[in-house]
Amino acid sequence: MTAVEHNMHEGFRKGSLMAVIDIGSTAIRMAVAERGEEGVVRTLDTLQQSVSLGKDVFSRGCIENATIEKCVDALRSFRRVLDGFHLVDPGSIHAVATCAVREAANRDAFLDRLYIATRITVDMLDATEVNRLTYLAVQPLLVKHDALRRGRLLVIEVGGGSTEVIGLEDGQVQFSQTFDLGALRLREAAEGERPSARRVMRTVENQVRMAVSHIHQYFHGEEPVRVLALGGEMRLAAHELRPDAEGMDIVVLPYEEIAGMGRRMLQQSAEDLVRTRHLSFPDAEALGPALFTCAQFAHELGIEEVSACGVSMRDGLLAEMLSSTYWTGDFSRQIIHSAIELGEKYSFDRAHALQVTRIACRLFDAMQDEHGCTPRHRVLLEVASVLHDIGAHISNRSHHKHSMYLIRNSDLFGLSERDVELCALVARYHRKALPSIRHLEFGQLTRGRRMTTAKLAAILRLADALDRGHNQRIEQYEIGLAKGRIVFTVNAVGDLTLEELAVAEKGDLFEQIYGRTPVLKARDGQAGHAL
Amino acid sequence: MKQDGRGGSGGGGRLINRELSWLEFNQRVLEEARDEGNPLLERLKFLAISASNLDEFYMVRVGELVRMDRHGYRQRGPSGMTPKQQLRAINRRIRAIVADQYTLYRAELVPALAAAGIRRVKPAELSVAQHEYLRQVFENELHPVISPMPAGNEHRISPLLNLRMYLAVRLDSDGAGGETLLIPLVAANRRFILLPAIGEVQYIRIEDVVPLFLEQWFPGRTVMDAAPFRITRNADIAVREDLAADLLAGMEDVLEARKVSPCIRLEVAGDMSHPLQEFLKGMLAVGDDHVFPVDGPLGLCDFMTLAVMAGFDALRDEPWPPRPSPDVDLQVPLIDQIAARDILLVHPYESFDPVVRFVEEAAEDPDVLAIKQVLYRTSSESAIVEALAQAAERGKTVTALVELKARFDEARNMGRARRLEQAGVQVIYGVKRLKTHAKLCVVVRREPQGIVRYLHFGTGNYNEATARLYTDISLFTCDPVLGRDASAVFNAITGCSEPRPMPRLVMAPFGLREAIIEQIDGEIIRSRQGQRAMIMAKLNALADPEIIEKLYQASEAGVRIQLNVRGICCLRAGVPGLSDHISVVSIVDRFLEHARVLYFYQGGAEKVFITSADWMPRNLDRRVELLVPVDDPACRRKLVRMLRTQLNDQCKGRILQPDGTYARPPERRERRSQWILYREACEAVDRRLQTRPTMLEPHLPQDGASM
Repeated sequence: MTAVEHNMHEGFRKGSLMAVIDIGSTAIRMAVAERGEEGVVRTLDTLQQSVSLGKDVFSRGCIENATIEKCVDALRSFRRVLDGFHLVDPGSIHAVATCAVREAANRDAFLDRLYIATRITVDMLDATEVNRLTYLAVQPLLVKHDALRRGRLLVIEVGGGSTEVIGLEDGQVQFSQTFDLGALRLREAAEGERPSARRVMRTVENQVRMAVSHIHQYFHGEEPVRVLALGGEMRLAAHELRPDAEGMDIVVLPYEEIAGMGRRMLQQSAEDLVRTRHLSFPDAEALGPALFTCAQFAHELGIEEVSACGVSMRDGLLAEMLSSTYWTGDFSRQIIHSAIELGEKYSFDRAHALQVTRIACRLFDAMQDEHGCTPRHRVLLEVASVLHDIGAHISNRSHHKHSMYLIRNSDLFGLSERDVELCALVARYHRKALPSIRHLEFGQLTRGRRMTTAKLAAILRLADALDRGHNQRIEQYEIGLAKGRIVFTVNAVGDLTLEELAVAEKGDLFEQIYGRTPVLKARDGQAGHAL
Repeated sequence: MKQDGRGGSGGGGRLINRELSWLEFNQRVLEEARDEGNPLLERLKFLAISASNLDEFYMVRVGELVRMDRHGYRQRGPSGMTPKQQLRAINRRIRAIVADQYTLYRAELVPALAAAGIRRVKPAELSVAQHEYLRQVFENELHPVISPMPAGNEHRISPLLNLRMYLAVRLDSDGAGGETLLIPLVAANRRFILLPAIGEVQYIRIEDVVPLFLEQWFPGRTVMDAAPFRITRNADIAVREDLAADLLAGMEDVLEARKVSPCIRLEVAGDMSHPLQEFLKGMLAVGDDHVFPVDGPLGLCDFMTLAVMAGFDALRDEPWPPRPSPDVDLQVPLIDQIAARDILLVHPYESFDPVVRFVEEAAEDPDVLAIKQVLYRTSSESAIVEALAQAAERGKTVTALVELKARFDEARNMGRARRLEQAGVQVIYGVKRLKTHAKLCVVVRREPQGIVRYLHFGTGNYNEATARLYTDISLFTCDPVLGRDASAVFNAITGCSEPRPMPRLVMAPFGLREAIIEQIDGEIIRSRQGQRAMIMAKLNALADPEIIEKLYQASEAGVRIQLNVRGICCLRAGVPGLSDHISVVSIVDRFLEHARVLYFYQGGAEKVFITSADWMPRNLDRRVELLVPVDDPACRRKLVRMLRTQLNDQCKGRILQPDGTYARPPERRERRSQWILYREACEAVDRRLQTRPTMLEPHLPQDGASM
């Protein structure tokens, strides 16, 4: 269980403390926070220690021993700070590692060493999880600033090892993408420990041009109208270029000013920046490339101004820990929206898919006490329901397997690989064979996840049966639980034979899992058929 | 007041030499000893202070210059003088001060003390009874502990102790020149021996007693010569932090090294014979420049013990005991009061007790999770240290930064560090390459609505003893932004995090100078735009060339600048074309001025700060210091009133002249700022007592407290 899942049921009460630790490519950072008034995150402490993970990994492929020990020391000192808050419950501490660690050949040894030395479990985040967290981080800004919710918005964060990009239209996520374009990698790309400023800028220009051509595709050839740039470098830029704007969450800067500052920083040695700006060495090295990259994105996209803000993925981690539902309503909507987008791509039967989804959700809620699953699983069930038939796009034969394959290989916004895997399997079991340990993908799951898959697939199978005719006939119904049964009382819609047969056929898993026989009953004295 | 034309600054550059400026300060301390308006024992105390100041100056500042000169440094300092030039100028100035000290002692204080009933007895004046009494003292107390030692190369004898007195004795011998022995008078552990007398106090100095009984050590031999001397060693040795793996051990090495570092001053009795003087010079490798024959007792600092001896209160200032602050209600837990509003105290007019109570209450408060505190110098029996230890024993997370590098307090701090560690306190021995000079205490408390941090910021040390003598500011607040910043300061100095950007606090050496310059620039811009612009600052020292140049620039732009700088001030005030709009006052009075307060007019917004940092390169570049905004309107008003009162001190204030000397203002005794501030503190608490509700307050049983 991850730390987040651990806390999902209770949620964080007001005043409860939590900490997030982010092992990035240039630094290990920690934020200690508590839940304040109205569920707002109140940050109590932010800490940072520079480490050269990115430098090690992007140039040599693995993390050096000295760096590992530096990380151990950093986590140990963070531990001391947590002790000061008497914050020891592992469920309240969520540590994650991003791309530098992910790409390290010795990452498992590294994470084991951290755990042994500090008893802190570090979760590896994959690129889509980082996207999700970035979205969560900016979400409060989207709520607060109307302008960001209008039209096409590109959210950018240039990190040490990668650049995260999220495209939104009218506040809805259209796509998310991670480019291997980071302030530290540039040094490799530009060939040499200390490439000249000119060389770095050329490299940035080329790489950004390529990235932007992808972005155009995602936006179907349309230009975004606004760029929201995140991260510590942008906070520094806003502070320097608009000193009067202190305390504002977003500062709008012409891209030329950002590019100009980036150029100035690139031309100064990191040593100078460390001395004159009191920056850490890795921060000083990253500052120029990050600013210039960001400005270049705006330039290539033909956007004059960049909205700069200092939030980072860590804010997303905190928001995620804080929210008792794991995913906020808005965030869930974004996930479903992106699932529907994917369905459209495979020409799904939209009406049927949404009908099945609606029924599945009602079933999920009705069975809440019995399955004990979390609201997050409800979202995964929704995604699986929306997409259960997309395999038909390839072939109707064995389309449930094609659905599984397509879902597994899609870029669903906001979902981790593990989440996507679960959705894919639930969709696979919407028809035909029941889950079996002999099935390769299912058999590889842990027992807990196998159970969850089966619980959700049982619901999906039954929901699909209730729209067997793909005609959304069953609109008004009530779900009642009786001894050994689950009873659907349906308002008269004519002959229910087709659905009754389907329920008989596909209620098998439900009966097996929940020990309840599904019964379909017509209201107004119409005969019901026990099945 | 020029001292017979000997004062001043050396050179006519843009900056006053800082060593000479410091010597001017010491001269002002000596002025208080000369001031017949002061009670006699207070005058004696000021004389002792001026002497002990000079000892430290010699060890540290002269020590550094001597070392630089010996290593061939030729670079000129900010005032344009090479180390050698500075040493020459300092030497001249010090000899003048010493001459003043001894003239004052002989011509004024000795007769006045005798008239008041405190009389020094010379050996020739001893009565038979007194002589017999001394013989007993010698035989019972001195002879057993004092062992004469052979003089000679220091490597072959146990090293002479810094700032201690020895008696050099030459005995006749068979060979030529005689035999020289050294008698350490320090072992006696007392400088003055009170004699049986009627109607007055009579005392004799130890260096007068021991020669009376020399035959006890050297029976049958002739004493040719006997005279006391005192040496000063170079204390300019710092621990090599890059080499010392364990700072505690490294610090002990420094203390060892200081015991044998080169002698840089040899003070001898004025009547010491020439051969004996030459012998000592040779033995200690001291040149003529560093030999000080004095016409009177060595080590005037020892007279502090006489000045504070019991009785004779009529010869002292009437006491001004610290008053309880009207802003603190002793019936209510301090934390509740801080939660209600910020509290600002001006010590020592207002008592330091709330600061001690703050830590003590936190140690006992079950909701307190952690206490973090910087201890720079604290008193030896410190209630605060005790409270921290107890808090740790109660299971709270206690972090204490004990600055082992606090000069001359190293030994005491090491002992304190060990006591705290034994109690389970996480002790940090300062920060590498930086001295931690900031004074702050953070109490982290869990409350129903979440974590609240209660803060104490100070300009002075957490030292209950000096808090009665030093003027300092305390600020209590639970502002959440300041709380986060204060926590960031701790995370930085404990090595848990790199320094993070802080919205409210500024920490040296990460931009404190820049923050001050930014404030001054703000005033410059306003002044150039025709707005009113004004700066007031109260500091202990002003020596940072960059800030001084910025102040000159501000003066030129028409900003009115009023400074209250107690000690070193390298800025030239009131020089036409350079600093027309700058005035500097220095106050030396019964309390040591120690608070540091800054005020910028800011177009009427009136920004006020307290700070631990003097405006000196070492504070801004090599120390961890804090600049703390004071935004609560009532606290700010209190500080501004204090600043103005002090700038107008016409009794103990001395005005810096364009030539670097200091002059008395046209004296108006009633404008004595420390007296005004003390009277105001008394009146404030009296007013509060009068307005107190007339209800009697019964002590309720325990659960009554939670009603």
